[in-house]
Amino acid sequence: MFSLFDPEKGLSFAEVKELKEPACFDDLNLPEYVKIILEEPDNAELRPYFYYMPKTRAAAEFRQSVAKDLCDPDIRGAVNRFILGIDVSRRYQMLSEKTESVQKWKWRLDTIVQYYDSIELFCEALNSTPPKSQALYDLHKYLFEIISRKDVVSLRTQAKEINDEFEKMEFRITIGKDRSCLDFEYSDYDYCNEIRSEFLRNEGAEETHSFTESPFVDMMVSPLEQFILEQFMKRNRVLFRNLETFCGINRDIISDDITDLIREFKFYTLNLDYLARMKVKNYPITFPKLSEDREVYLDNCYDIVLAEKNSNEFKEVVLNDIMKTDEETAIIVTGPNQGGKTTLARAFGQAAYLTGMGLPVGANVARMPFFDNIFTLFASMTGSTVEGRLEHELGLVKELLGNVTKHSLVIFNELFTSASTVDALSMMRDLLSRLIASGAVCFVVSHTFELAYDSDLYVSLVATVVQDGSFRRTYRLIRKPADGVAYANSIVGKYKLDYEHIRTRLSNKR
Amino acid sequence: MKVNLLNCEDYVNSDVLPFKNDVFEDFDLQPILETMSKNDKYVYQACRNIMLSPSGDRKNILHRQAAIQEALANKKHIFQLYITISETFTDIINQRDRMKKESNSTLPAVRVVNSIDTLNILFTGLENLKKVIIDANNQFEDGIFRDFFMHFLKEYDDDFIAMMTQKRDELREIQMGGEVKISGRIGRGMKCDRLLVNSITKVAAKRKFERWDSLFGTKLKKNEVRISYDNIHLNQDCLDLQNTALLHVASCFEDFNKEISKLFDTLRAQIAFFYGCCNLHTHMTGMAFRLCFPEIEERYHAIEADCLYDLVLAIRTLKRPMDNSFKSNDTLLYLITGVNRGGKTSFLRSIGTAQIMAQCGMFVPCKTMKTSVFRGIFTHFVRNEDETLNSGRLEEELSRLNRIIDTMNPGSMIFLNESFATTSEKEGAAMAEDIIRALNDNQVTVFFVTHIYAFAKKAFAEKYPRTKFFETEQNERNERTFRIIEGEPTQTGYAMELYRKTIGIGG
Repeated sequence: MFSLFDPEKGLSFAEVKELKEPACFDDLNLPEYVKIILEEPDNAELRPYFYYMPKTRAAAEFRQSVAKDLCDPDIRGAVNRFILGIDVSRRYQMLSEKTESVQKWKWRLDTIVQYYDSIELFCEALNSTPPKSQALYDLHKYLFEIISRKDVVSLRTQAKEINDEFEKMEFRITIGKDRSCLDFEYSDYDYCNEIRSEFLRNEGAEETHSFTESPFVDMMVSPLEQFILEQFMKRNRVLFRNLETFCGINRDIISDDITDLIREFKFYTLNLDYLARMKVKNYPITFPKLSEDREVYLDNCYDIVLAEKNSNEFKEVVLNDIMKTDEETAIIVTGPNQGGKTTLARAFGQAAYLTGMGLPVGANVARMPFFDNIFTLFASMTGSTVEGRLEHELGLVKELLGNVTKHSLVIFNELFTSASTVDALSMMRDLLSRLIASGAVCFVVSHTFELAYDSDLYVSLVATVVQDGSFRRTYRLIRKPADGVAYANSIVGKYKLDYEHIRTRLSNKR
Repeated sequence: MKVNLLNCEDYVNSDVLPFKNDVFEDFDLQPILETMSKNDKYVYQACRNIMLSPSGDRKNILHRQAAIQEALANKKHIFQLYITISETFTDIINQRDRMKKESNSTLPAVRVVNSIDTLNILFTGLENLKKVIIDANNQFEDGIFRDFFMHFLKEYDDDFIAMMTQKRDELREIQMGGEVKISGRIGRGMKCDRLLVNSITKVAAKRKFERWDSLFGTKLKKNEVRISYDNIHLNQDCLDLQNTALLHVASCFEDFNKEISKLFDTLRAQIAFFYGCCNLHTHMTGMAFRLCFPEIEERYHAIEADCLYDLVLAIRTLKRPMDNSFKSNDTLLYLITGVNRGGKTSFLRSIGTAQIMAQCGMFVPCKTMKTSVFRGIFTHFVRNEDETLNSGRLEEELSRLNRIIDTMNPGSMIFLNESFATTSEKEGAAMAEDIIRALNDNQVTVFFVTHIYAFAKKAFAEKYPRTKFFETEQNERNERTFRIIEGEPTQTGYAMELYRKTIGIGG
């Protein structure tokens, strides 16, 4: 089994299907993200891949190297053709199962030809554009071994011989009001081209204009097609017999491994296409560098789900920085309600998730640690009474403490709001010290400022408001406690409208 | 066929007005377009599109000037051309609507008939247009229009019309019982594939005997297999195949129909603009208002005008507004201060409108004008529409400016009207100085109407390079004359009032 998700033995599709949605998904709005990407009903089956989080740092790096290869237009083109080719062969196989007699055998023959041709084409493409990732390098080798196998080579030779004979079957039908007949004097004269060359005066040679809208759209042969086939059968009994013998023996050509592989490729390409579209909409998108330690560096990051929603409503999304050094233990986010804190928590969680999946993240520059798990606890309304809610939260906290490791990410959003401020603060202090002791990275959105002053190793981010008395939210979260930065200057800075910036912005265009 | 009336053949459009709607609002271009269109919605839209896409290319502007001058000399023919094209267009639209209604009729025969109908309309249209063009061709002097006419008459000569007629009739006869020959191959899954129509032939009239023959199959050639009509399914299949073949052939005519419709489309849009220019010209000269074609300079950022008036104000009031004259000595900053309602915005508008018209190749409302081609024209006017969001004003204003700078190139011009007034005067002045200096240093010409006296005073005292100072003129009785003259900035005391009015708190 070959996997694009794991350098070791990856999960098969059957195993992936058993995966449950990670608990952090709802809090991070990831179901929305998945929904956008799997919009096409055909792709719905790919959903469980989103739950396939990496167990090791190596797996995350492995995935990213695949994704990066897929950003190379040549490799991407080859992969797209490969996906398409295998999908077509799968469709032929399906048709061969659904049809009868002579048609069944021909569909099967077409499956064989199409399937191996697609693999071969893909190998050739990878030959001329060697991939950089180990994964695709190994895959190339793996696929090349398949088509080099003696049995496969001989199978393809036989299939091709028979197919060539069918390629030669040409006919001509004359349809009139009173009489219609069939002969075998095929002509490639195109009447439509005659019209088009005279009317449109297109001097360049036109490709022949065959029509797609025929009465033969059904996958079963129509009576007229049946009639034509019977004529060919009469003329070439041996060939039809050979076809039946050959295809009778060779069934189940398409291996599950290849089918899984196509699904995995689709997962990558759908995600990458979506993120590339965000880039076109001027949202920064970048591959994160996996930091060696616990450094976090997200320059101009944002909530990708919110950005998608806003862009549909022609609203902008505010970009924020989240940065912490290796030594710094926690990020504490404070500030007024509706100031963008939850959005920032989501942006961070999404970036951590996408990093693990090997995908680009929504930021300008990104360095992220590897997280083996993302734990989120967002204030919820679960529990009918105040006590019930606190009890529920504490239950979740207990479970979390049991599972957290030094490679985990923990995101708390407005926890313990049902307790008194004093109590909430002391609970939070205790909880944080435990988590920090375990080595996990903590991101805490809190309504108590005091927390941020507890340690020099806490990064304090503050949601800012307009300094004109209106308290309008800027959705900007700035590192260091609020300190009355002049409102106007902060906007000038935000839009880079000071002398030096304008000068460079304009002179770069000369 | 290319229509190069508006633009030179090799013209590449550069976006001189990236913020079309803002400019349209700020300069209040609507009355001009209304005058041009005389209530014709299509002309309005066509003129709007073209006026909001001024050219950034001197050669193209000169081309356009020449074309407009030709049009003004032959207003009657321009009108005729526009009417003829519009009529054909109405017919095409009506036919299209009719076809849409019938589109649930999947009968191939109906669709073939529709194709032929469309062809007929286009024939008539082409023929009518040809008549008008032959007529006009005798009147226009040699030039851009004449070139187009000659080209058109060559492209759609009598031979072409004859050939069209023949093909159309051929297609019509097939329906009467001709023969279709179709070639094909065995494809994937034994399905027929790569079907190709070889020929469509009219069958001669001696049908009776042949029919007799075919019934008994005596006429079959070697290798020919008769497809029996006794089998109903087979029969139906043959009919379907024939119909799809006919439709397929008809679709080739559709391509052609599209081409001709497109020609009418582009021609209509271009002629509509010339027609609009004629209307505007007639309207203005009828009231004895001066118009002239500007001299387009080769050097950069020069602009000067003699007796320039506000065209929109003239159209609205039907009176000739106060006019202004100014000269440029490589000026990059035009700083305009003065009393409220003293004609400052009107001054900005008159310059901006004239510049847009000039870069559209149009005539301009003044005695003479010399101007460069600016790479971009931008406006940044204070907005009053959203009173509730007072506190967001500065943010809104600066984010707008931010977007402008994102798209702006050196060699552009920008009209700032009361910018940076949504913060304290001190902050506003600092901001204005910073931003304007940066713009000027990048060869961006700035027209700045402002009440920020602190900034204007400083600029004057420090003798900013390449700067001219204007203010509103007042007569000896301290009354506004609505004229803008060169002069030292004076404090009007209006700023505070404006802050209180726009922001709602003491500035």
